[in-house]
Amino acid sequence: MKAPAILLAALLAPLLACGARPDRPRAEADRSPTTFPHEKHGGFDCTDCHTGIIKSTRLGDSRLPGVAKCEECHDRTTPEDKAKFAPPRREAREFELRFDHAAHLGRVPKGDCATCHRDLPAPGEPWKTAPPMAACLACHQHQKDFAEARCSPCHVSLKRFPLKPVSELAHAGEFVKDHGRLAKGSAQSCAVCHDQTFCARCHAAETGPLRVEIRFPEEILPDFIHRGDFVSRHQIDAQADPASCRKCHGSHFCDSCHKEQGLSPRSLSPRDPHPPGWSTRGSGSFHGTAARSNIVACAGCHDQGAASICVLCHRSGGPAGVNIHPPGYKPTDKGKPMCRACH
Amino acid sequence: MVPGYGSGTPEVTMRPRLPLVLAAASLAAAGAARADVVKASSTTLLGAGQVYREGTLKAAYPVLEMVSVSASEIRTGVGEFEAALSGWGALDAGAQAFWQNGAPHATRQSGDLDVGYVRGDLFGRTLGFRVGRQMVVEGVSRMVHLDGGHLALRIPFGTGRPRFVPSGATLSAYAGLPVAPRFATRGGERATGNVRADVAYGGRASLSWPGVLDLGASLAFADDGKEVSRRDVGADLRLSPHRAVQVTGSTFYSLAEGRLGEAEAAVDVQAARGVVVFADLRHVEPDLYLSRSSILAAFAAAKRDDAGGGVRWARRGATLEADAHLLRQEEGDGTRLRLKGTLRPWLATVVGADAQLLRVPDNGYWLARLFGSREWGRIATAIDVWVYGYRKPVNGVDQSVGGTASGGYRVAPGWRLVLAGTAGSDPFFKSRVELLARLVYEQTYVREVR
Repeated sequence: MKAPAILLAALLAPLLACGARPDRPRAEADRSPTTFPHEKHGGFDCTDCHTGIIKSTRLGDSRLPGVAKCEECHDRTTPEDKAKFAPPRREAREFELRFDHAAHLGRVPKGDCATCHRDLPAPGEPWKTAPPMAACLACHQHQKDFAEARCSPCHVSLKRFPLKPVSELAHAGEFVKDHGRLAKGSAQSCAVCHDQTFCARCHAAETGPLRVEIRFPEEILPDFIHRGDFVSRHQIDAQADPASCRKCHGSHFCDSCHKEQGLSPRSLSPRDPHPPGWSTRGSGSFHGTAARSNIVACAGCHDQGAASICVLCHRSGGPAGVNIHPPGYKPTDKGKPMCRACH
Repeated sequence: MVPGYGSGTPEVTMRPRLPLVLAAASLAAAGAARADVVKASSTTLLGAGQVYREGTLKAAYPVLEMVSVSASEIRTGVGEFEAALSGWGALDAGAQAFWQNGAPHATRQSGDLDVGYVRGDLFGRTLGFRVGRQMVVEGVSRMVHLDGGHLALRIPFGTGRPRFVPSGATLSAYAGLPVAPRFATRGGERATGNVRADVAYGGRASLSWPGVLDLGASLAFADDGKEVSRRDVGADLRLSPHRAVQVTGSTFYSLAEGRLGEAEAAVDVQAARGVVVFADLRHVEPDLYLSRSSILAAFAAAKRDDAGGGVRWARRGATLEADAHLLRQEEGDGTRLRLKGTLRPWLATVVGADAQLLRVPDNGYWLARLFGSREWGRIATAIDVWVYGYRKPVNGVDQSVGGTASGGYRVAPGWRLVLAGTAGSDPFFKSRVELLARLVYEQTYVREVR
C-alpha cells in the first residue's frame, strides 16, 4: 500500500514538471537596442536631460527624456524628425533590483553618475544601463550579507532573477558548519534563494536515500560533514562533538547500521565492540565512566527504552547494585514510565 | 515498517499518507500552472558497490529516482504562494536489501517524501504560513522535520529609519508530527530523526533592526506518548555594531532538566578587504540532546567546551582558511586544527588542498586531501583524493586511502550525465571500488512580466 503510494508520487512529480511549461524560458531580456548616442552629448550633465532621476526613489519611475527635451537644443520641427529622434518606447517590465537614485545622487562625488554608470550602451547595443555589482561593492561592503544570503534589500527576487555572482561569492569559509547557527534567526533570508527542496538534499535524515556526498561526488568544494571515509572516523568525530550528530540523527539511525555490522546487541551474531575491562570498575575503560562522559555514544546501540540492556543490571534490586544517576540528579516526575523500567 | 526491532515500546502505525501526498501534489500542480518561477529536477542514480552485512560482503546495486518540483512567486490577489515537493523511490537490484540511511528494510522497493508543502505570504507579507511536510529551522527547533503547519506574523514598525530603531517584530509558531521513514511509524524507538516524539510544537518571537540586530526568543517542545521528549527554551541574536563586525550567539535551556543545554557565541570581523577573522566559544551538555523519554537520559550530565578562532582570506580566485579549536571534555582535552586553500589558476579550473587534525582523548586522526575540477565546455571533471591517519588503529588499521574521480557531460540544456568511481582502502575494506552513474535533469522556468 505504501510503496505504490510513494511510487505514484514519484511518477506524478515529473508530470507536474512537464506541465509547468514556461511562458518564457529564462534568458536575457530581449529589449530593444538603444538609439541614443551618449558619446556625442558629453558636454552635458546627465541630469540636464534625465531630470526625473533626481527625485526618483525606485527604478522605473523616472521616464526617459522626451522629444521636448531634445528640442531645447535641436530644432526638429517636422513630424518625421520628431518620430526619428523620439526615444524608443520601452515596455513596462519588472525590475530585478530596488534602487533609490535620489538617495545615492547626493552621496556620489559632485553628483557624477559615472561613479556607478561607467559604461553606457552605444547606439545599436542592447539596453544595459545597470552598473555591475562591483560598483555597489565599491562603497557597500556586503560580504556578510552575501555570506548569509541577505539579498532582499537590493534584489527583488533571487529565485526569479538568479545571479551567478551570488553563488560564487556567498557562503564563504566553513559555511556548511556555520549555516545552522545563522539560520536560527535568518530562515527568511535563506528562503530568499532556497526553497526547502534544496535543504532536503542534505537534511532529510529521516527520509533521504543516500547521503549527499555520495550523490554528488563532483561537488568537491563544500565542506560536507560526511566526506571521504566517514564510516571509519565517525566514532572519533562523534566523541569530539556528540551533540552535533544528534542535531540530525536519532538513536535508531545509529543502531540500525550497528545492527547490520554485528555491533549491536540486536545483531544476529553480535561482536563485542567494547575494550577489555569494560565491566571492571577501575580498569580505565570501565563502562560506567564512559557512560557518564558520553552517554550519547551508548545511545548509538542501547537506546531501546525499557528493553535497554542497561536495565538488566541497573534496575532497582538488580545485580549491579549501584545508583546510576549522575550527582545532583533530581527526578522531575517519579511516575514516568521511563522510571518504572528500573524502579 | 522496520522489521526485527526488539523494543519495549509498542509500534505505532499511522494511517496511510497517500491523501497527504496527493494533496501536496495537487497543490504543486495548481501552483505550477500559474507560477512565475518553477524549478524542476529529476535525478536517476545507478550505483554498484559492496556492503558489509552480518559478517559477509554483499554486492549492492541501488537504483534511485529523486524528483523535486517547486513553484514559487505564485501571486494572486490574496498573496504570494509557493509549493514544493521533493521525494524519491528506490529499488535494490543487488543480492541484499541495502541499509538506507537509518532504515533497513526487507523489501527491495523503498521511497519517501522529503518535503511537500504549500507556503504563502498574505496581506503584504504580514502573515505567512507553511502547511505540509517541511523543516522548521528557527530558534531552538533544531531543524525538526515534521508533517504539520507553521505560522508567522510579521509586524512592521515604521520605516526602519533611523537605523537604530527596530523596524519589525515576528511571531511564529509551529506544530506537527515528527517525520518517520516511509510514513509507517511515528515516535517511539523507530524514529531515525533528531526528535523522538509523537508531536512537536514551538515558536519564536523576534525583533529586527535591519543590518544591526536580530534578537529572538524561542521554545521547542515535543511529547513522546505521555512522556516529555523536549522542553527547551532559548534565545538567539545577531549583532552588527559595525558593518565589518558581526556577533552571533544562541543558547537553549532544558526546562525538563533545569539545565543549560548549549550556549555558543561567535564573532566575525572583516579586518580588511577579503580578510575575515573569527573566534567562537561553545558550551554544550550533549546528554540533553537525547530525548527526555530515553532511559539513558537519567545516566549522565556531561559538560563540554569548545573555543577557538581562525582567519579566512579570499582574493582574486584564491582562498585560504585556517582555524584552531581547543576541546575541553571531562575525560580529557582535545584539539581541532584545519587549513584549507583553493585556487582558480585558469578559467573554469579549481584546485585545492585540505589538511585537518583532530585529537580527542580516545583517538584522533589527520587528513590530507587534494581536489580539483575543470570544465571543458559541456564536459566537467573532478577528482578528490584523501589520506586519513588514525592516532590509534581503527579495526586494526591505522590509515585509509581513497579517491573519487567523476566526469559529467551536459547532454542537452538542463540535462547532465555524471559517471563517478571511488576506490580505496580503509579499516573496513582492504580494497573497495564503487561506481555511480547519474542522470540529472534540472531546470528553472521563469515567466517574465513585461
